[in-house]
Amino acid sequence: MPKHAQRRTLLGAVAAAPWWWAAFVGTASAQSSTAGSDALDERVRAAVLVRGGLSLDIPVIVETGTSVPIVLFADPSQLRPGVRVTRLGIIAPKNPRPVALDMELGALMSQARIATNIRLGASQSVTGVALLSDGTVWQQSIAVVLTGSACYDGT
Amino acid sequence: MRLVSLPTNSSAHRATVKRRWRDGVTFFCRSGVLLAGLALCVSFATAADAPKLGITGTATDDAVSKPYPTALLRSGASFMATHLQAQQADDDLNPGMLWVDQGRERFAADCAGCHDGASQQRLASSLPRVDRSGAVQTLETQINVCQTSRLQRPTYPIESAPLLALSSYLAFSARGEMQRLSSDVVRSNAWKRGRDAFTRVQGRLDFSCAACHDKMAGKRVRTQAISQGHGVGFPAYRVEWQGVGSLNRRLRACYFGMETGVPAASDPALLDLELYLAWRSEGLPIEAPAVRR
Amino acid sequence: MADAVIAAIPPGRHARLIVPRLLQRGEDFTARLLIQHPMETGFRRDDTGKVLPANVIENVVLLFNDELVFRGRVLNALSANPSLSVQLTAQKSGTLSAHWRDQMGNVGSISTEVRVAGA
Repeated sequence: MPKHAQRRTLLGAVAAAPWWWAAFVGTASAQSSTAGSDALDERVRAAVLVRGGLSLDIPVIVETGTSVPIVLFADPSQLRPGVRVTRLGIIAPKNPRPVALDMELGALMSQARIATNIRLGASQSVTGVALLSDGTVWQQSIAVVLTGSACYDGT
Repeated sequence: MRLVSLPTNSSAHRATVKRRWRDGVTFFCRSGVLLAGLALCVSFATAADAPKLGITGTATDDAVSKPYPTALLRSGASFMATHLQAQQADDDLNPGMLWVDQGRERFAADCAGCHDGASQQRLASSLPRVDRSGAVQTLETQINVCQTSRLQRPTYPIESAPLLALSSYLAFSARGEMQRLSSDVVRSNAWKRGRDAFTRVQGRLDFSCAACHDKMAGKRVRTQAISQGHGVGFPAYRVEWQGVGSLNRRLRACYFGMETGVPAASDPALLDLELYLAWRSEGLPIEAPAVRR
Repeated sequence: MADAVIAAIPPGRHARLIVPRLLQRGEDFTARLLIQHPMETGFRRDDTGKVLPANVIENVVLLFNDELVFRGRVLNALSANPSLSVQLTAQKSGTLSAHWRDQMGNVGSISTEVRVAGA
């Protein structure tokens, strides 16, 4: 493939990137203090978003949005040799602050796996993002329905 | 507005029938000596009719039937979503353990002078109890009795952080112990008041506690399964509260949901209800701090 | 994880950092961090209608012998009393420590020993 064609493909991927992508990268560069992270952000600005080996484990029906268990897992068998997962994030587009979580992973983690509980403000498609050290981005989305509680609690 | 029509044989209905019957007897008795004999006949006749009306017993009967036989008892956990059950099953994921840790520290500092750990193991499973004055002592009021009489300190307000920590720790210490009350609680006025409160129809929705938790457990309101209404998981971590809260607060939340007047936290009527609930739950193990929705 | 060490909790700060009691070299294990924190979003109001000021944990790091395990850069939507569980490999004994700071400037930390048999 000629070089300019390759560039066009990359630009196309960036143009097709979802609206939250700039927010995710933007928030990260605003908060990061190290030059290394800024360099990483420069690389991921031109990233191709693929489904890759990221799995997202979250209940599809939730009664109370204040605490929803979620597990992000990047399958190591899908990684090319020498490549590791450097960041895991969660985007909840209908939350008042859509970038729900952004974690930088050190080399000590044996698996790119984080289990936690998040807040969801509404039914929405929750997206997990994994950034790889070669600039690839894996993403995976799951639609979660928030049903609300049976009895309103005013205590 | 009536969202759920009550079945006519509900406990609430039974309680109403019984109240009317009692009022009738009172009327006859007040009608004078000449009518006393007649009143006696009527009350005998009514008593004979009682089983047909579904009146299963009074507080003075030796065998008072419970809404759920032991084999059918299910704690609130079994009505929760699986992810909440998993959170409760693993102490390392259960945020309620943060309160237990703090209670353990406070117990070591304030209570260990008089109480050793072993003596506390069964305490929470045998509470509430009715004291000599007829008042109900729950885990929370018992802690406050120690505060005033032994430690000479002011009582902890209900839902205050130190009280929740201590009660969480003590309930946790009794985890696995069967809820078991003194056998004579059913003779107490507090138990009777608690039972009446549980079965009384009230609020804008025409609900009673019994209408849902005795009659409709397992059915759903929206996606949530109605529980049998047992308090053995409390103090519990409720994700809705985003923290640990007492059974007292849970009951007030129930009143809120029923769209009726919410009693004050200090209302003794809540203590009566706690006593009645614990009696209903006899045979279930304590599982505090539970994780609830 | 029944066989676990619960680290001592510093007075006034309440957290749990839990790892298995004794590990074999090369064993994969879970480290669980649980922090008591309201994670107030700033979108809630109290009974009088006053906005509850936002106060979420804005930075958390987990270190093993001062080497980075993870760093939370954005933690906006973590639930109240958040938990974070990650996987590590037992290579050598050492100290696992977590440090965090919230928007109001409160800092907290907790540490626990990781004991690897023969290492």
